[in-house]
Amino acid sequence: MPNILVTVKQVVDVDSLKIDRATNTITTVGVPRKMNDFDKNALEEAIRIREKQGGKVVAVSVGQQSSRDVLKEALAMGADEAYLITDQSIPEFDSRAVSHLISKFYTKFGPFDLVIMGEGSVDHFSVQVGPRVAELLKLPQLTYTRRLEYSGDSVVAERDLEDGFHVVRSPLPCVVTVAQEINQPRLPTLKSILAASKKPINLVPPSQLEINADMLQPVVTTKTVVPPKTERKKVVIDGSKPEEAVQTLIKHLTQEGVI
Amino acid sequence: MTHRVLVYSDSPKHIPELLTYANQLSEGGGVTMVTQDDKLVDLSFEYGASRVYLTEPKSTSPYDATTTSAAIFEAYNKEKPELIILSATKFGKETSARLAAKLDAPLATECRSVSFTDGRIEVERMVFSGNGLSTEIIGRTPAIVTLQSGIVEPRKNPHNGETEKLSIEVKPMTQTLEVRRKSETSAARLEEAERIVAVGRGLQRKEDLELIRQLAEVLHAAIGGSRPLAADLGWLSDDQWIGLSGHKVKPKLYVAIGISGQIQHIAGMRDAKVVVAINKDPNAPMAANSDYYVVGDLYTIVPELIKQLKQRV
Ligand SMILES: Cc1cc2nc3c(=O)[nH]c(=O)nc-3n(C[C@H](O)[C@H](O)[C@H](O)COP(=O)(O)OP(=O)(O)OC[C@H]3O[C@@H](n4cnc5c(N)ncnc54)[C@H](O)[C@@H]3O)c2cc1C
Ligand SMILES: Nc1ncnc2c1ncn2[C@@H]1O[C@H](COP(=O)(O)O)[C@@H](O)[C@H]1O
Repeated sequence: MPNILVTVKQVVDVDSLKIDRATNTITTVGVPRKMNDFDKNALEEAIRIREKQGGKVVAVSVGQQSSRDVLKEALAMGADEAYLITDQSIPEFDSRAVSHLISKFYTKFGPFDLVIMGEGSVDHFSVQVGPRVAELLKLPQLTYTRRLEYSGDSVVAERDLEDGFHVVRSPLPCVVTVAQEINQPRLPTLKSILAASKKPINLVPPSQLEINADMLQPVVTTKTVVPPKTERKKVVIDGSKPEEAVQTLIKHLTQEGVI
Repeated sequence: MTHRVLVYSDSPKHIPELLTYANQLSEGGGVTMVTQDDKLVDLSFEYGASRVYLTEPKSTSPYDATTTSAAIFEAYNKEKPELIILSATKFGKETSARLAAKLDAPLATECRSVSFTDGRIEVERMVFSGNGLSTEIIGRTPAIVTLQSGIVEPRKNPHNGETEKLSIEVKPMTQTLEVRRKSETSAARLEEAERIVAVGRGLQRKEDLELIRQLAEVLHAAIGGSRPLAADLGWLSDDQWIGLSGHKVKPKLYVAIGISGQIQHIAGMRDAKVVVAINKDPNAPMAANSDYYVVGDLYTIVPELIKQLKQRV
């Protein structure tokens, strides 16, 4: 019966970002937060495997205290246990630090048979924590997975790569990162939310994880984030008279030299 | 200041750009290439590699990040470059991350620019699903970046360098059972297309795609779409969608039909030169992301557009 580790990240809701007009930079202060979309797919996949095979789904997150919310949501979706790796003195962990923390967590709280993660996080979209963790643990990696079959001692994944769909078998344990197509994540029910509220969220300080100070030292830092400038002409053409509208459109496109 | 740069690629499509960019960055410090394909050695010298490492045995399992990252790691150990560059393809990204953990090094993916500024490496990349352009500082070397395509015009710069064989002992950890190739109508064509007709949920039935096909034909355009149409409804082939989790395209002309223009879609076509949209909602987000926004029903506008375009020729 598989013991499955799922990673979940709290991200800002990218549709509710605010622009600080004075500096023309994007601010995330006060922006609502939610569970990274791909991590819901990761959780759903893990829960489906457990529903068929038995075993356990353990959710882990690295972040601030506010990340408790996504772990509660993970429990409400059906995770069995939740862990938050957190250190108040460190406001932000970069991808390298997160990968060290998750792999040390795996070693200390394992053994796990399978690690399921999202393909990327929608905030920084660094798409690197999965393969980094796989390498740190010397495990195989199955990225961009859109279908997964678990069979006791191995998994078969269908991976969506540039040139085609690759069907790949991997021994266990291994690290799988999932694409959105893999499933439709379930919504927690009122009952499952209530049940989850009784389960603990276990706090794990990095000091419990054989981490050295250098591993948490940021190596990539953000200087500024500005709204991307795409200057579009925004010419609106009324289409209620299709013939005229299309004439106008074609005139513009001819002038632009694109038709 | 000169810099030593290492480039990995196994794609004839990406090598010219990657090497041109790497040469600009190195300012004469020398660019080393790693590849697993002996057919790419000449191309690498043509575009300015000063040395090529050819890994042996040639990987029996393509798209294996474990063996490929091990090959780049070997080359790193010989050259000790400050910067390692891969292309921001799916495979490039997963390989770069595995390599980053091997070297315990910083990695910035999908960069739109990279520069050595005041002794540091600065990169620009899109974040927040395309809502933000972020400038990031990489605090130590060696640093790894993956580069988006289309950020530099490839320039020939022939070198007479040496080729060195690198033997790799690492075995793949996984086994490929089957590869189902994607149709050439979609993936590759979209990224290179000069004109794209993209369709979204505004389309009511799958059969109505015929209308879109006719328009694409008169425009000599490739067909793409929004994610729901390809991934959820399956009306387009599986890999034909444009956006954050799909293809990033930069055609001269992009015609978005019945696409609302959610930020995740815009992330894939932001670099199009001229954007036309046809949408019955005057207030869809697409309006702010278009040069020409026709407010109307696609079922009347598109046939009229086909008709008038045909009359032109
Ligand atoms: C993590 C994540 C990643 C994603 N990645 C992608 C991605 O890569 N690509 C992508 O496209 N989406 C992506 N999405 C989904 C995205 O958020 C939107 O849901 C999607 O782009 C909407 O598709 P649409 O515009 O076709 O549909 P809708 O939003 O439903 O828009 C349909 C439009 O058609 C118009 N319309 C309806 N009928 C007509 C008519 N008769 N004539 C003219 N206009 C009409 C409507 O006014 C509307 O504006 C992602 C989402 C998430 C959360
Ligand atoms: N802080 C974090 N806590 C838990 N999981 C994370 C964290 N950051 C990244 N991950 C996992 O790694 C995946 C890829 O994220 P990224 O490499 O940041 O794009 C995400 O989908 C998560 O599953």
